[in-house]
Amino acid sequence: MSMLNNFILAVCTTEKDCVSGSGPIFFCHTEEELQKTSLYLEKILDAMAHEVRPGTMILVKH
Amino acid sequence: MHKFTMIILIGALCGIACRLYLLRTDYRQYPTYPHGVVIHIALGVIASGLGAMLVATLLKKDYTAVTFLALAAQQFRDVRNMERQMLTNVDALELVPRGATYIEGIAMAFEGRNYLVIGTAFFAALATHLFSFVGGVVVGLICIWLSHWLMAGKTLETMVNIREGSVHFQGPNLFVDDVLIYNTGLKDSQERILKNGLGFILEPKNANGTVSLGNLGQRQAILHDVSTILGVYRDSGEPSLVPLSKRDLNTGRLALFLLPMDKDPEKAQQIIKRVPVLENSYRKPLKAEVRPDRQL
Repeated sequence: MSMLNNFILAVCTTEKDCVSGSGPIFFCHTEEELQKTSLYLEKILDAMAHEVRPGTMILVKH
Repeated sequence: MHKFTMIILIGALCGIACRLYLLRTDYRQYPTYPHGVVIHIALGVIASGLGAMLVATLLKKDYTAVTFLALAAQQFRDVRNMERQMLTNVDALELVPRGATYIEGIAMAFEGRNYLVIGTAFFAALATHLFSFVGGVVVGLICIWLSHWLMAGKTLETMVNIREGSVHFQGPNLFVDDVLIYNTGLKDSQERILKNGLGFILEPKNANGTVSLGNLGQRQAILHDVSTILGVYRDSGEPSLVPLSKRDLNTGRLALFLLPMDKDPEKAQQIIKRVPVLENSYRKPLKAEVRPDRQL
């Protein structure tokens, strides 16, 4: 079991201006791409995708 | 037959019968079959032997033999530790864990049952000495019935009113009626949740229920029991699909969000009603000298 909990592993967004920082950020062009990228990341990282604002998802390890 | 042989025989047999009667493997499949069952039968035989032997030793005025009971108590405390350790280890690999409170409850029950077996064997043996072989059997049967009555706990039905709630999304937020459960942004997960999810609202009948229902262990036990019986629509690597319970902080109601394989609200409701009230989570604020106002 991982010891990492409630930690943002990645951010996916369609709005380049709204997100910045040191973590992995995935810029997407469309809403469909955002959904797809988040879905893949969710399965790969075993983390949950939360929509914090329209067009921005964070992947959190719970 | 020697007098003591009869006393020990009847006492031990009643004790073993008591252990077998209390050892029923139900939907929880616990104790596990066959090895878990064998372990508990073996311990039950030891316990009933001790109880029956006690009468014979007291009749022989061998009072120091009572110290054996202390040894037995130590032995059965180890049973509790064994159960606790095993269930805790296994729990990490469950899709919906039992939770520590449920595990403690099960471990306590297993220790308690052994003492009831000692009691049954002792009283049956004593009655055999005082009356006859028939008297011993009758007292043994009464003790078995008493043991069953003592071990039967309350169910959730006595504490709460249950009704179905609607599972719906407001944007990315999942609600059961008006209680927020969690946020999931993926359309794929949202569709699956709406297709398979079930929501229930548990309203405590009084302040005792409000406090007990707030306990995280009790809430986990409900989720575990429903998932055990109706199956659970989740797997490892599917973090968006989690059965969860959340409290409505204003009223103390509990919103349950379930993901059963068998989406049958009627059955789920019946299962929730039958979930045991865990003795480690049950509180009685209404018995305090200073009582809460909300007594309903």
